[in-house]
Order: sequence, then C-alpha cells, then structure tokens
Amino acid sequence: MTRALYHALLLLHPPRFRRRFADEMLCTFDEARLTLGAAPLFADALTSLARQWLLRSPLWRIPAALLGGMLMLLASVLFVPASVTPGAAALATPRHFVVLAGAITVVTISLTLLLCVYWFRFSMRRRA
Amino acid sequence: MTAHSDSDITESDIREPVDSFLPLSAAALHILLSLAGEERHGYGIMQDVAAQTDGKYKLGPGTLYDNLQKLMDHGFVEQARGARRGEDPRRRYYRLTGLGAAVLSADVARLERVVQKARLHLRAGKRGEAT
Repeated sequence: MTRALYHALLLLHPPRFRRRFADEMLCTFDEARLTLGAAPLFADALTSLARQWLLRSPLWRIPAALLGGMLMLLASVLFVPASVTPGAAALATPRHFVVLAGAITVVTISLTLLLCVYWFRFSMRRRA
Repeated sequence: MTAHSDSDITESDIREPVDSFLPLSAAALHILLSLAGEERHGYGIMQDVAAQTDGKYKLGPGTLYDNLQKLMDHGFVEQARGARRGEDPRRRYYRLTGLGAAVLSADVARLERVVQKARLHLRAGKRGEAT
C-alpha cells in the first residue's frame, strides 16, 4: 500500500525527472523504508514534487498564467469603481464593461499562453 | 581572430568557472564528498552521507535525485554503470568527473578558509572577554 502510494507520487513528477529517476527512486524507497521508515520518505517525496514543479519545470507557468488572467478578470469586475469606467457614454451599462474587461483578459491570457509555448519550445530546443 | 596557445590559459582562467559554482549547497557538498572515494548507487550515497555526519543529516531520495540531476547537468557527476550482477536492475552507479573533483576541492578550500577565520574570531572574542 505505502509502496503504491509512493509510486503514485513519483508518477506525479514532471516527465523529464520521472523518466530519468522514478525507477531508481522507487528502488531506493524499497531499501530505505526499512531503516528510515515510510513517513520521512513521503514527506521528502512531497517536497520533491513541489520542488520539481515549482522550481525545476517551466510547465507551472501555464496554469499560473491562466490563474493570473482569471484573477485579473475577477478584480476588474469586482474592484474597479464606476467613476473610472472608460467612456461612460459608450459603456452605459456594467454589462458592456464586463464584456470589454473579459475581452481584454482573454487577449492577455492568449498572449501569455503564446509566450509560454514559445518560451517552452525554445528551452526544450536548448536542452536538446 | 586571436589564436590562443595552451600557455595562454592561466590558473585563474581555470579557477574562475569553478568558483562560479561556489558555495555548494550542503546536499551537493555531501553527495560530491560521498562520490569522491568511490562510485556509489543512490541508496549507497544516502547511507554514506548519514555516516559522514554521524546521522545528523539524512538525505531523502527526492533531495538526493534532485541534486544528482543538477550535478549531472553541470557535469560534476556522471553515471558510471548499471547494476552489478545479482543486484536490483533499477540500480545505477554514479561517479565524480574531473570537473566535479575540481569544484569539490575548491569548496573544501573555501570551507578551510572559513574555519580558519572563524577560529581567529572566536579566539579574539575569548581574549576580549578575559580582559
């Protein structure tokens, strides 16, 4: 059971790290759990999972960009006072403003995603 | 274009790239120390690091392989071979490269200087307390 759980944690690691070290880490887990116990090894695996995704992998930037876009949209809808709404005549109702804010956010997210994809491809090419 | 002969390369030219990797993290230092003596597999490195520190510093597999990945990417460590006959086939052995040995030596020298300075400061502190 503990072994299967540890294996599942290893499968959640970024592909590059998983391909290179997952089998070996499971082998090390099999040997080390007898002397160190399973709990510290699970804590180490969870830390490793966070470290690999947040510090070593560029993929986290995509969900972060999406989250950032969503937060921008939410903030624009909730916190922008009516007095700074652009073109009060053109945007007579809050609904128009939401549509405009949404459109701007969608464009921002798309550009961020495009940049992420180009940056990811560039870094992969450099690694190869 | 200027042609360089071997004699144009000074000692500082070699030391500079090595110094740019210093100071090593505690985990990297202990892993390199462990591999300085002989080639070892992952669990062997974990056991040796625990022995080096009298069990005060225990590396988990996650920390170990994250550091091994970095050390291999920098060219300090390389995979030596696969498992020996009769061993778990998933096992891999690692060894120190020439660059890894140079970086380890440079960090040990740096630590020696730190220890010397620390002793001087502590002695001066004790003298100050006595007077």
